[in-house]
Amino acid sequence: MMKPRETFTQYTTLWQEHAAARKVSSFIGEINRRGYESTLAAAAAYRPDPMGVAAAAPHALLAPDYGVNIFGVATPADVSAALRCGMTTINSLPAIFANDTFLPSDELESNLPAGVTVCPLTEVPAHLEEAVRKALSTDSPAAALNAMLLTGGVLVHIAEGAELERPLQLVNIASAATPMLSARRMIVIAEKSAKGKLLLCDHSMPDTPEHLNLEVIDVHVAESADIELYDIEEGTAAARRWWHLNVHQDSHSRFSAATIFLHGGVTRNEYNIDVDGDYAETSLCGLAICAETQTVDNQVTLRHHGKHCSSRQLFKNALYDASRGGFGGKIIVEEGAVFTDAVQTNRNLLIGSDARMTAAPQLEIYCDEVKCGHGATTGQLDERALFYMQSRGIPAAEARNMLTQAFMADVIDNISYEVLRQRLHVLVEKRLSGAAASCDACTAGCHTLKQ
Amino acid sequence: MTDEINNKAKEDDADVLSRATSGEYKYGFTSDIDTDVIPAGLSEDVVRLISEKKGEPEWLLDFRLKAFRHWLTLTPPEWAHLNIPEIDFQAISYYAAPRKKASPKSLDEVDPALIDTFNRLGIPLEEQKALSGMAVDAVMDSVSVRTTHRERLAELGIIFCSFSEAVREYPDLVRKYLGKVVSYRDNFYAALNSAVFSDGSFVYIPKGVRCPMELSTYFRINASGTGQFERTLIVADDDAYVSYLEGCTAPMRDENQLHAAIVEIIVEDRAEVKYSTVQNWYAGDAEGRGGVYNFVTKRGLCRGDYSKLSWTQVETGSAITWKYPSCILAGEGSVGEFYSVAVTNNRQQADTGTKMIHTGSNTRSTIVSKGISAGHSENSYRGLVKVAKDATGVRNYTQCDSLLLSDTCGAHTFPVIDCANATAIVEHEATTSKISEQQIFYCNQRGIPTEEAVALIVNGYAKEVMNKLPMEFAVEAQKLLAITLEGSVG
Repeated sequence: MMKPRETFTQYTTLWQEHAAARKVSSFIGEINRRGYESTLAAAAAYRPDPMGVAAAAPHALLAPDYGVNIFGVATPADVSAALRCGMTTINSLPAIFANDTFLPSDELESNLPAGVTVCPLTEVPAHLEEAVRKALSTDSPAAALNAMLLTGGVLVHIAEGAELERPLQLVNIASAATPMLSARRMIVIAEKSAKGKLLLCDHSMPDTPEHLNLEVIDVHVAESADIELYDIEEGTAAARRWWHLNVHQDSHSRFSAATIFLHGGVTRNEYNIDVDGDYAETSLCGLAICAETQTVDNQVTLRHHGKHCSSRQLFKNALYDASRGGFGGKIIVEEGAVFTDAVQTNRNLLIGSDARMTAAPQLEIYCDEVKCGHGATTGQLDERALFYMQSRGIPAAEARNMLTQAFMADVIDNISYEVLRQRLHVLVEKRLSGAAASCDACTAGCHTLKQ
Repeated sequence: MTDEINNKAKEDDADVLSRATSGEYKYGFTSDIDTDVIPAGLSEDVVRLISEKKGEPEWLLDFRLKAFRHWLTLTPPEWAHLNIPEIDFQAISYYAAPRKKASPKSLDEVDPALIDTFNRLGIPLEEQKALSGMAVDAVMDSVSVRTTHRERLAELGIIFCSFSEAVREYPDLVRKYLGKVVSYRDNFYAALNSAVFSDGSFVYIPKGVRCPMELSTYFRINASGTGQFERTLIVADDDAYVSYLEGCTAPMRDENQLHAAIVEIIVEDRAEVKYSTVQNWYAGDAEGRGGVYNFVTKRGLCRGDYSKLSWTQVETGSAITWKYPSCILAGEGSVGEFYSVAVTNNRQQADTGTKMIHTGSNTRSTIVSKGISAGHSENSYRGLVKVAKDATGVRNYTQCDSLLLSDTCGAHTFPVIDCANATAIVEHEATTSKISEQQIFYCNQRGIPTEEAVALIVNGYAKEVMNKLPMEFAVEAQKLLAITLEGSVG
């Protein structure tokens, strides 16, 4: 049995052995080196969380001996054929991450609004290099390891006052013949008063063996900027995902994120939000429908440094069969962050007889002029509501689905982008009725992506 | 009798003001009693020496030695939200007993200085005996000095005595239950206590007996530089009932004192135990110098069907509190309750809460925790609600509120809910707020000074828990709240 720390150091050793032979640009090389140093530090400081969901702990996710694309070999993919996933109805600007290689589409390149730059991290314009360096985080285990293994990645830069009105849709596809770790990085920099929507979809090819997607997203929301980020996961049971969102918010900014888990294996979502400015707004949502032995663990750390900020968190899980759910929510109100208004809610439906839910909603408050609350519940559907519906002729199974859907509805209703919201209602309904989610509607679906 | 108590309550309320102005720790004095102290340090020899001094049987020495050897392999826990200065466990003397000529037969034989100490603490034995109908097992520096009302209890078959006496007279009972709820392997401080525990209380309520009075102990740390390692064991047999009170006050000291106690409770079929604590160890001065480290392991096992265990605590003292009174709800339909008020002021740190471990079906638990922080203090609630896979029909309700009285203090909530059964309903709710300016203004407008208004509002806020305390304690606890928070306003 590997010690928790060794699960990290197996990759640092691997990287160190091959570092000299790699051919990367000096900019990427510098990031890799920084990631290497940070990973060593993170490994030394790593302590497993005794209360967390064991299967979704970082060391458990890293334990298998994954192959790493250390030389940055691009995964060949036919972009135009792969872009028609179920989300295209929402009129997005699509692009693909094939494992760890970023591939923009013609649609994206020809329709980018003025002031918006979308490019691989290997081709960052010189004037943005410093901003990228600053935004790219390496201070968490996920971000450190990701930076070390980074070969591509993508930068989304929205200049002052510019707006990315049609959402940028990134379809992440895991496709490999052997167990593989893919390090994906997305850096979003929204300058003053910029606006943008981003949609991420995770897929894995049906025949891909156990694979780990190490996805890190760094977002900097400058003064009065507004960023919305949505993430939909539809992987296979072989998928392991370690997703880390790192956000910095300046004054009067708005940021909202939602992670929707519909299919997958083991998922760990980390939210690390720092609200640095005053009068900022933050909204975080999560929804997971887990069956079989699927595991979803959402870990939120939200730090309020600024004054007069408000934050809302809403995380809901429906756990069937022997699935496992985890929620760790931490709101930290630093000294001086007066007039903070923070609310955190976690609701769980425990349906399967072998399902298990672990929730740790936490508050750390160092300031008195605040309004903070959290609530967590774990329970079942209301028997009386079920009875009511059955007495009106609705079969029990259908009544259950309807009530579960209603339970999930308010998470989806939090999503302000209407086209996506409607689409998600349909996806959740289909998921609950047992149908495969979006991909069955796909004409040239990404699951048949040609190698 | 009720009138008397009410009158006393009124006087006490009036007292709050005068006490509030004095500011110093009320119970900070040292009594001059010859104490029998063994040299500082901890080794296998010291463990043997303690056991020998107490004339313990072989099996108890074995228990201590096993615990000591296990302790050597452990390191102090670091997971709590506490900043604990490093403790030199070799600099502590592990045994201090008031020197005595023979066991006292009546009050007259007790050392007058000791009697005086208790009088100044506000627990005159005679008065208490006559007035409140309580049996007081006064523990001073580890050895139980005197037990009252013993005979009356003995008639009912109730055993209420010091731990060392129980070891001598009821070895079978002690051996049967010792370490069954809190194993010496449980944690660092439990291991330490198991190795060096000096004395404590033992309570056994036989089948079908309802204890007619509130059983009570007062702990004090007295001799300079000695730690106190109490061990309490309460057993309520089938259909029994007992209400047990524990109160703590410690004299003012400059150096930190370590208090690592263990409380074990076993509740059999349909029995009920109510355990109430008012903890007021010395908290250190305003700059955080001195004060007691209170690292306590308290746990009850509701082994019997339909048994009930209720913890009520009012925590106002100690420089550092690390304490999680817990219930293991193993019996079918057993009930666990935890009501807590924790107040921290100046530089105090408290990390306290509970664990409700539901392993039996149809078990229920309620947690109500009220944290109040002022000054530069840190106050954390830490809790665990665990529902085992086979425990069906479990119900839990948790409410933990925090009240912040300054912009430099901290109030934290760290609950964990681990639910593995699909028929359980578990709820957790927490809020954090401060006393609003409107509330204070309203009181001021009606002639109530700000400091009193704060005491009033805080007492109202904590009422839900205070109501769970026995009458005598409720009065004392309300006073303590006001005293602890004095000087924290404005």
